[in-house]
Amino acid sequence: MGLDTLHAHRISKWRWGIFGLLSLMGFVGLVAMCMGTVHISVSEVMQILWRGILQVVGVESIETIRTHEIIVLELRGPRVLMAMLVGMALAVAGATFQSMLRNPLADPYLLGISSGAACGAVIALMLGWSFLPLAASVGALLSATVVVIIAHRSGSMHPHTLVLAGVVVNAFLASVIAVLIAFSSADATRGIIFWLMGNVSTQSITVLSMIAMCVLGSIALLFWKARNLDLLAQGESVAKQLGLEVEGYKWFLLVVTSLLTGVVVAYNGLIGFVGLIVPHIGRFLFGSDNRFLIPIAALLGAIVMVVADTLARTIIAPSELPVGAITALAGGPFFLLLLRRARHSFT
Amino acid sequence: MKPILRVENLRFYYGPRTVTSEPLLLDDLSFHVLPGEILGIIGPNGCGKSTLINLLSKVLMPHEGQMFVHDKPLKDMKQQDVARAMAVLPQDISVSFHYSVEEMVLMGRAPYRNGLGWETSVDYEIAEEVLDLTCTREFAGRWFLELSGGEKCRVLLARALAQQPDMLLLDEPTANLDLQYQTRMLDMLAGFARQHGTTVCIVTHDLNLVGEYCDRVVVLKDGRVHREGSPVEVIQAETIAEVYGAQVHIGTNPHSGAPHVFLKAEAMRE
Repeated sequence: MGLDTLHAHRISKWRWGIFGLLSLMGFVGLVAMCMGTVHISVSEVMQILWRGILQVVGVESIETIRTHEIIVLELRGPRVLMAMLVGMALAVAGATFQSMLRNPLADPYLLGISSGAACGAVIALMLGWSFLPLAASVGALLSATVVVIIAHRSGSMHPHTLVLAGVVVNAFLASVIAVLIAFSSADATRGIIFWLMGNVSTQSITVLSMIAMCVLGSIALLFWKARNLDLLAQGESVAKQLGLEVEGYKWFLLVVTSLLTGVVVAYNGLIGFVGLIVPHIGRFLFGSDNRFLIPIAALLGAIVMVVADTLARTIIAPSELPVGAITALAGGPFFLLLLRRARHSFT
Repeated sequence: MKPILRVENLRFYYGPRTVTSEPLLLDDLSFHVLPGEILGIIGPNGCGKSTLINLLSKVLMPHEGQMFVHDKPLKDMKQQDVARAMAVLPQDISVSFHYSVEEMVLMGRAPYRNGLGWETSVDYEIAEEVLDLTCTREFAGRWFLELSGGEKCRVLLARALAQQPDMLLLDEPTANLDLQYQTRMLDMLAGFARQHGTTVCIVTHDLNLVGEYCDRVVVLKDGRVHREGSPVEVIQAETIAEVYGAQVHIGTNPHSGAPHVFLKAEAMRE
């Protein structure tokens, strides 16, 4: 079989994959909007969504607003959308860090990049700045730069070393946040701690569309330059010998992934392990080629996050579990598995 | 003939330089490479051979001196243009993720593609050609990580050839190959180079390989060119003793007439 036929097969498998995952994402989103303390049927959700769209477009105006409509259009709908964006952002950031640092254990949460974003957001809160996502992105960029410098210093390091570096960065930033919290009022403290645990928040359509623009725009940028990630995964000198301007590209990656992480953390707190697990599922299904992997990881991330968030708000309804706890419960064992595999293949 | 590559007064050292009397790794190194020739670069361990390859492929920047590719200063060339002019066969490579052999080879086409870089039918033709040349077609679908050292080496050579370079830089190309593939690979390379007019630079410890396949040899010692010339001129007992500090006897390969190095064990010395 010629290589072009081989490649044609791979492309068509990937296209079907994208199509399947898109449908699954829509389905999971619909089911998530049905579930909760008030159960709403799938057909009703679809009707409400359709009328909501018509209303936004301006074709129809709703005279009588019913409770179910409020629940779907103002509570569950925005929340499902936010969960999708969170999952996409974290999964793509994770996939990018893994190729960039050549480390299967990389994840924005484990490396301390999410903590950097949280730190930036807390500082902004205390100083009374209104633009949290920007502060969080700057915080993420600073800690990501530190992690990359550590990785660069030790050359081709063992994957475990980078995770240890992440532990140190995390511990340091956690204590910075603890000190900052100690200076704030009791009321603010409760809010900050709940936020830090990781919760998909419900936001207005304006805020949601701003987040969507940041997240989808960043993913599109990373996808456009995804071939270079494969080159970088070969090692920096090899990447240069294959024609990549490594320094510039690394800065590009750092800025874009920090924006992704910062925007998500600013509104939803620390949600771990999604960025670790989802890219590996993607690699298992469609291979390591980042041109295939980035969009697949985005869709898988959205699905995983919607499921996790729906569990978080229904298991002990009417109260809620932090979604960060759910992802950590599922992600912890998976991480141990990867750690074992990494030990086997790197010694 | 105009040289394809000129290296002029190159100086390089690693890390900060505090003691000025400390010797440089490369100190005032100058040589040139003619188009189409097979050049051997030899020298003792730690004389900066691999560093030289990294300088030539613009992975590292020299502290002083200039390099010219086709009379263009290397420092003004874009990394992509360097990768089109020169391809490197690295000594070792560690990849953390599963890429298939075919994917690895297609990465050699990256210098010719921008943006998303989806391959065209031309890229597939070239990839198939180099897979055949390096006898790696049969495992094109396997994971690179699961190959043996020798198989990996051949795949990386295929990738370097897929770059369609004017010049190939080979770092210890035969270190991981058994005798059969050593000769097969070098025969293939020599044939390929003659046919396509590709220039080949081989950095190696294998002096017999240099004697057999190279048109010209450059000997490095103490960061500069110690001797330069045809294999017969350079591979002589005195030169080897000066450069490596080893006692050898030089004979001749009865079939090719190339110089051949025979080791002298201690008991054999007078």
